[in-house]
Amino acid sequence: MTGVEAPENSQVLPERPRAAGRQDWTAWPRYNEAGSGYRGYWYPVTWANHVTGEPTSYTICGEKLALIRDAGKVYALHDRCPHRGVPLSEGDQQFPGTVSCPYHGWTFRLTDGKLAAVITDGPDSKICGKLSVQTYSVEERLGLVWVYIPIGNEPVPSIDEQLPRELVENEGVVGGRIQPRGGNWRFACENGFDEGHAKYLHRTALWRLFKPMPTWNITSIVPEGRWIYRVQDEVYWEAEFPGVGKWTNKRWWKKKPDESQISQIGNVGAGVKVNPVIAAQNFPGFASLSMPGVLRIAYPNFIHYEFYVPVDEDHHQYVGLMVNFETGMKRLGFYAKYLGAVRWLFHGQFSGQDEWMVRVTDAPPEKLYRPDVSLTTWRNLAEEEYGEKIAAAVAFAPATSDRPVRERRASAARKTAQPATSTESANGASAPTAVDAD
Amino acid sequence: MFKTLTGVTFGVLLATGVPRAWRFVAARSNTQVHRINS
Repeated sequence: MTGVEAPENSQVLPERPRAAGRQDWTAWPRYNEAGSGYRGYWYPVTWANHVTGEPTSYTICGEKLALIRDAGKVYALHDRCPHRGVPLSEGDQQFPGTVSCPYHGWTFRLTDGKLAAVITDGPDSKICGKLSVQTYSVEERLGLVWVYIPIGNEPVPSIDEQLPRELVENEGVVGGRIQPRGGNWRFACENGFDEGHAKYLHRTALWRLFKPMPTWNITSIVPEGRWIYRVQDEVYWEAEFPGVGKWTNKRWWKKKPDESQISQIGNVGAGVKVNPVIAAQNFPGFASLSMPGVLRIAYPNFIHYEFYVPVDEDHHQYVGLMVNFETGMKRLGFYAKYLGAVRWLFHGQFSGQDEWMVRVTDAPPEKLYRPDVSLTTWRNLAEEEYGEKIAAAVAFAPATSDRPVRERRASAARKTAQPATSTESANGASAPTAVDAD
Repeated sequence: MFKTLTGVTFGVLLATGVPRAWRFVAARSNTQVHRINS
């Protein structure tokens, strides 16, 4: 007898169910490769008043940045001295308009990153002017510092083209929170626009203490311009689940909006007066998402934005902004409301529930269900828009500089890790249009 | 005299402590408010 026979009393184990669902994200090749974020966009880095004459280190899209303010203007440099790789953010300013490495005093001009002086090599140092560190375009908007992370050396688009239009054109007040968070930025985007979770995960949030949420919805996703909108076609406040029972979010102390008048603004009754600036936007739905990961939730009196800023594969930065388009004395009411309540309840506990889920999400593999059309539509949008961006960017030659070889190698390695810089990814497979639910 | 001193001390503590506590809380939560486009 050859081989090994199973003992007589062994049990035949049931066949393990075949792994169902999506095993990877290769159907969206650029999205799949964008673990550290998409280059070619402006990202909010920190509060404008946090950037001072002392350089500070930040990481965006895996790129280490040193931010410093000089003569009122903010500058961003690659946070690595080409000499020995010491972060420039550990240094300081020895001369106006420059930053000096703390190790040997290599001093770089903030405007163009050129090596302007080497303090420990004397005034006639031969290396001066022969190398530089990369600089980045910087803008200040909405009380934040924004940095453009380039694909190559493409022309830098105006930040106003990327910001939500209503934030460029209107006066108002903003209350916001910036928080470093665990989890990939794509999970944060998908969570933000996820149709299904809000009604269940956030049912215990104090922000919704007096407002019930539906049990389930029929939702469609509507594209318009750079945005996709979640539109609630049908709303169900309670449901009888066969074999398990009835389930509802309704409670006697929660005031439910009139079902016949559900508005597409903030899930409230249509009778609620809407701020004219918000009403004028004519949003098809109250939740919308755009590249490179900007969530917008419209309420009658304010709009809430979430910017999911990629840091690296496992971390992102949450920038939550609540914008009120009031002027004059009405601003004071918003300040009090934001500082006294919203930052704790909405940007705090409510958003903390999202932080929790994003941090523990582990996909793919994944098995999507009907409401996840919101996720797949977002992935399709990202795939399509970034494809166009890459196509436009390849028209420009790769960045050339007199950075040292090691610096260029590091840069090349980073670019290799970025999505769609190769022909293969740029011509990636077409993205699916439907969820893979059974 | 005692009441005056107590009042002044309390007032100073309040005037210095409240803004510090407020700034501490704001820094911990990393929240800010701003006017935009004005």
